[in-house]
Amino acid sequence: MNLLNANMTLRRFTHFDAFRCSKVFKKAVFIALMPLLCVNSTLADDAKDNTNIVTDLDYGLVLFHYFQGQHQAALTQLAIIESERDIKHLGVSPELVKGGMSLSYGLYDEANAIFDRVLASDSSREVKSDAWFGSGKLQYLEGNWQGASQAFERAGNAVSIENKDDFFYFKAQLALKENDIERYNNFKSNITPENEFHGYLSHNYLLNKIKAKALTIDDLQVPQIGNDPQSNALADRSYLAMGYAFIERGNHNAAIHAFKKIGLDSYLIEPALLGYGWALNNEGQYGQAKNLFSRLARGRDLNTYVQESILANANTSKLLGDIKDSLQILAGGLVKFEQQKNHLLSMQQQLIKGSDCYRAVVLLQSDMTCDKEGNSFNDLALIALISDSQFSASRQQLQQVNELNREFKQKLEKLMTFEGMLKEKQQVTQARLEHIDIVQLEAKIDAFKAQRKSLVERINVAKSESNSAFFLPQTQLNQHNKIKATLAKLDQLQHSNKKVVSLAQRLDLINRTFLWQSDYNYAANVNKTLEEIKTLDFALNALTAIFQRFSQHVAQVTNINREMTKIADLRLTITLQRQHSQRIAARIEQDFYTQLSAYFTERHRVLDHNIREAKLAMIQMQDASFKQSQQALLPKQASPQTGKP
Amino acid sequence: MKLILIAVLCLLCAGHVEAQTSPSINKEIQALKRQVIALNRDLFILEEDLLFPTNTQIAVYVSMDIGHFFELDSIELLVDGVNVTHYLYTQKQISSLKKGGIQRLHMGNVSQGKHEVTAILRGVGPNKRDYKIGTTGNFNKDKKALSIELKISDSINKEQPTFELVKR
Repeated sequence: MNLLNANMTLRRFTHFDAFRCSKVFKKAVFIALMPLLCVNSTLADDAKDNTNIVTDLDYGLVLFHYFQGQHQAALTQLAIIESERDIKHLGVSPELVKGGMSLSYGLYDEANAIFDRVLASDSSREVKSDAWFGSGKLQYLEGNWQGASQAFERAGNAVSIENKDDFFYFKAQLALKENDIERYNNFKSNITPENEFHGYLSHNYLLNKIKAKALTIDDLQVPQIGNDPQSNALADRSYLAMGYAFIERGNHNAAIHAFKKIGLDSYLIEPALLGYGWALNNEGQYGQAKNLFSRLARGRDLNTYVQESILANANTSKLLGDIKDSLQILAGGLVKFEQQKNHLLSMQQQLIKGSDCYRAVVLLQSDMTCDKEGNSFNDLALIALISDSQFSASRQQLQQVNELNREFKQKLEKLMTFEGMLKEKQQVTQARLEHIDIVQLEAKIDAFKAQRKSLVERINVAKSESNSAFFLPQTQLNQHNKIKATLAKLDQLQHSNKKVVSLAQRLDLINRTFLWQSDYNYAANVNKTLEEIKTLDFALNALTAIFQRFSQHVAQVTNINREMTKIADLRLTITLQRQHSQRIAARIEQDFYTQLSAYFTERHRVLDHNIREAKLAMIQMQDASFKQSQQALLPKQASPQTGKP
Repeated sequence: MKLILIAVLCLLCAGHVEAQTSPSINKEIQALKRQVIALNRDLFILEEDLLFPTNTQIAVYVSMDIGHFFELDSIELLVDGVNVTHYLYTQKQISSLKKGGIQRLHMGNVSQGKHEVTAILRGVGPNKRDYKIGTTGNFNKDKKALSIELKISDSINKEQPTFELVKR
C-alpha cells in the first residue's frame, strides 16, 4: 500500500462518503496502524552502509541478501557455509551481521546468544557497542524495558552512525516510560531533525501528558514534521486526544480549538465532529452544535459515534425547546437502532473465519475485497480493534505462520521433484546399462593391461640382449625378413648347382649393410619404442580413470538409497512442521474469533444502552409534556373552589 | 458521553503501546523459522548435488568495488558463445553490491576442459553517458567446481570503470 493510495482514501473522505469495507477500510486501518508500523520498520531496516572487503564469495552472497533485507535467504546461505567450513571475511563482524539478521528475521533466541557471544569476545569497542544496541533492541521488543535501558546505557556513544537515530529513538521512548522528560528531550534532540520518529515521539509525549492530566493550552500546537498523509494522520490523532482531554477537564473552548485543527478528510472525523458538538453544546452554542450533530447523524453507517450523535441531537433540540423535533429524532433513531441490531448480526455472520470479508477486514489481505451490499465495517471501534497493537502483532504472527506453511508446502513439492529426478536418472542409467556389459568392459581393460605388461617384459629382454632387430620399425623388419627369405632361396638354388653365387654375395652384402644400419639406429629405435610405451601407458591410465568414474557414477545413480533416505527424512520433517504450523494458525485464529465476538457483544451492549436511553428520554419528555398539559388544565379545575377563572 | 470518552482514549492510546505478542507462540514460530532455514539448507545442498555436481559445476559471481564511474543496468552472460543469462538490476541490488554484497549471477554445468566466458555489461558510465562493454575470459574446468568472479571496479587514475573475469 503506497502513499498515493492513502491519499486517494483521504480524498474520498472529504465528501463524507459512506466508508465501505473494502480497500477504503484497509487504508483506514493502515493509517491507524502507522505508529506501530513505524516501530517495526525501523527494526527491520538494518542495512549497513559499510563497504566490506569480501574475500569469501559465498559470504558475499550472504551480504547481498542481507543488504536487501532478505533475511531468510541470507540466513540460509550462512547455514550452508557454516555446514561446510569457516567464513573467510574481513570487515563488519560476521557474528554481528548474523545477530542483526536473526533479530530482523524474528529469531530472538539466536540473536540473543550471538550478542552475548560478541560481548564476551575481545571484539573492538564499536562492534561491542553495536552488539549492546542489538541486545537492547531485542529486550525492548520483548517488553523488558529495564533490560533494554541497561543495554542501551552500556552501548555508550560508540554505536555506529546508521544505528544512531534508532538508538536515540528507543532511549527517548524509554525515558518517556520513566517519565523523565529532561532525558527524553535530550535523546530526542539527537535524532536527525527530518526523521519521522519525532512525530511519533511527540504524540507519545502528548499522551503521557494527558494521562498525567498535565495538558496545557500551549500543547495545542502539535509539531508536524511533514505534510504527508502519515504525518497528518498522526497530528489528527494528537488533536483528537487533546480535544477529549480538554472536554473532560471542562475547558470546552480549548477543546473546540483542538477539534477545529482536525482535517475534514481525516479518518477520525466522526469522533472529532461529535466532540466538537459536545464542546459547543457545553458552551451553550446549541444551534451550531445541532448542525454538527445533524450532519453526523445522517451518516450511512450507524457506528457508536453516529448513534451517540442521534441522542445528542435530540438532547440539543430539547435544550432549544423543540420537544417535538426531539421526539421525532428519537423515534427515528429507535427505528435505526433496531435495524442496526440486525445489521450487526449480519456483519458477525460475514466475518466468519475463512470468508472473503474476514480475510479482507480482519486479516487485511490485499487481494481480498468485501464489497457485498450493505457492508459497513468502517466502525472506528472495529478499526481500533484490528489496528490494536496486540491484534496487529497476532495478525503478523498469523501471516508469518501462513507464510511458513506455504514455504513448507513448496519445499514438499520441490522434494517430490527431486525424488522424481533421482528415480528418472536411475531408470535412464539402468536402461543404458542394458546395452553395456561392464564386466566385459572391465575384462577387456584388464586384457589390455596384461598385453602391455607382456610387451614391456619382451622389450626389457630385447634391451638386455641388445637385440637390435627387435626394435626395428615394421617396414625395415619386413625388408629384413624379405632379405633372409631370399638368402634362404639362393641357398637352395646353390644346392641345386645353379649359378647364383654373385647374387648371393650381393644379397649378403645388402644384409650386412642392413644389420650395420640397424645397429647404428639401435638407440634411436629403443627410445622411440619406449616413447610409444609411454603414450600407451597414458592412454591406458586415461581409459582406466574414465572407467572408474563411469563405474562410480553407475554405482551412485543406481544406488540412490542414501538420497532417498534423506528425502524421506526431510519429507517427514516438513509434514510434521506443516501440521505444527497449522495448529499454531488455528490457535491464533481462535483468539481472533474471541476478540471479534467480544467486539460484537460490546456493540450490542452499547446499542441496547442507547435504545434504553432513547426510550427513557422519550418517556421523560412525554411525561414532562403530559405534566405540563395537566398543569395547564389545573387552574380550570381549581376555579370553582377559588372562584377564579 | 463517558463511554465515548473511554472509547476515544482507547483508540488513541493504541499507537502508544508497543506490540507484545504471546511468548509461547513466538517461541513456536521461532522454532518453525529455524526449521525452515535448516530445510532450505538441506534442500539447497541436495539440489546442488543433483543439478550441479562439482565435476560439471560452473558459477559466475558479480562483485562491485566503489562503483563511482559505472552505474550498472544489466549483464548478459555467455558461456562458450551461448547466452545463459540476461539480468536486469534493481536499485536495491546495486546498492547491495556497492556495500560489499556479491551476487551469484549464474550457476550451470559445463564439461571438463577449456571454456570461454563472456560478460556484456550495460549501464551509465563516466559523464553520465550510456556505457556498454564486454569482457571475456578463458577458463579450464577440471573435476572441482569452477567459480568465476566478474569484478567491477573503478580505476581512479583513468577515471574509468574496469571489468575483469577472475577464476576464484
